[in-house]
Amino acid sequence: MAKNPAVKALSLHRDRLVKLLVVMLALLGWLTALSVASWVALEQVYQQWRLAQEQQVSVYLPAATPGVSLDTLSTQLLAQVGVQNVSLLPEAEVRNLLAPYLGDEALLPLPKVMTLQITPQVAVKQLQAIVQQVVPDATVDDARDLLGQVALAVRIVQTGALVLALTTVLVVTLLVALTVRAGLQAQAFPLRVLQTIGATDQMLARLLMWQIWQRGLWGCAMAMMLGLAVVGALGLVWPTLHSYLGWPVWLAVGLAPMGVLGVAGVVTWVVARRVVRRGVMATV
Amino acid sequence: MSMVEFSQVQFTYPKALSPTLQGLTLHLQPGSFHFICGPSGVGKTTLFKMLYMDLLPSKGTLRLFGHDVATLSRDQVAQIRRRMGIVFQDFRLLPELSVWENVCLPLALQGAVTAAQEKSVREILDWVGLSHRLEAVPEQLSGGEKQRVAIARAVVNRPKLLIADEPTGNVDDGMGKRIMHLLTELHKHGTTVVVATHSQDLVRAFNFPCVLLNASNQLAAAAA
Repeated sequence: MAKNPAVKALSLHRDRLVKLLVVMLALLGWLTALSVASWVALEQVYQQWRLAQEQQVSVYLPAATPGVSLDTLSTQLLAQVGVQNVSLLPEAEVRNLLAPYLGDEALLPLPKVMTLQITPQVAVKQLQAIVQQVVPDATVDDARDLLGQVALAVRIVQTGALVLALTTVLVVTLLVALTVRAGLQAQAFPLRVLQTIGATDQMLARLLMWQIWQRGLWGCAMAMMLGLAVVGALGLVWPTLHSYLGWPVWLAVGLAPMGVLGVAGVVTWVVARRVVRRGVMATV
Repeated sequence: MSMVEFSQVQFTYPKALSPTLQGLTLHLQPGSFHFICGPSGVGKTTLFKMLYMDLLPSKGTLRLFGHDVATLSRDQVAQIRRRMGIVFQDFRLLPELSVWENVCLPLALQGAVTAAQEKSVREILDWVGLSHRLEAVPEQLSGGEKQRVAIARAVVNRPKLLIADEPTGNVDDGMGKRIMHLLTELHKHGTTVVVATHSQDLVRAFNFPCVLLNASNQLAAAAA
């Protein structure tokens, strides 16, 4: 006797489509969570990389560059406004960097790599001129030229993630709309009886929304757990990713399924009200 | 003010060649008891559906509780239906719900059922003689029991107007009389009762006015 008879009267729980809805919402919520989390993670990776590249310039010098030239170059570069630090990369690190390209030639003399910490306002052309003057065979690698291209690539991938998220939300909308519609068709008799004894459209929509929401909550919880498990596993399998899987990514995984649940609730409300208003159920 | 006012009401079903009801004028006063009589197919059920606003007049005016039904919003229709009790020939009990739940349903639509309301439900079920079958579901009940559950559900909100469409149509004579006695008892307590029936025996057995619909779909008479 404890359960509200009105809820029991209009119970969608026996409906197979509604049972399936939990699994579908779990999967779609999970996909949405991963899509949104990917978008957030990519943004974080890009921002970290951009910050690093905007503040760093590398100078590649021939192996035979004398120490005096290195000192001169270092002194002149440090004298420039905006150059905060100049350092020579240790030989072991250079060897590690070049190892994949050198192969059997590992004993060849190694070039020297000078790293400059700069502010974004520094005129790199001026630095290039100084380098050319002191060591004519040296080259300046300004990764900032690549930033635009990388930004475009990141935005394209992010758009893909967003499109996937929006597609899953669209699928959720269609799925919930069809489920509610089919559920109402199957519940034509109780619906009609409830209307006859004084149920308003709002009451009926609320009864349905509550049930879909309850089911959806399970799906949402499953999606959230799956999403968190995947992100956790990624961090464990590839520890290098760990620094990019910060709290915004975890938050995205947690919130995206709730967003899907919200969409399911709104769709249920709108569809239920429309169906009840139009009275698609045949007269019983 | 009449509780129910039909003024020159006509009703034609979609795609029908001729109206099912036409020129119907009928005023029912609060506290009255009327039979709506006539042979099958004459429009009793149509009139009955108009009473609970399942159908609206094609022409003319129908006023319930002083409201012109044509001007009511869906929410207002629902509100007025809560002031009415409706008993159907085919009971319209919800098969998944127990006797108790079916009767509580109109109350549950308005929020949680209170302890006082639960007491009232028990009294009503006692009144219709079903207090021992609270947990039974409709398929476990006889036709007479189902109809009494339907009556209990119809009166649980203490309606001002009770309408019943062939309430004795699906039960034996003895149970039919028992059901009619329940309805007359309600009438004695001030409820306006309208019973649609094609049974002349029933009309003769109870001394209430009978509104007769004849075969030409005209309201022919209102006689005691």
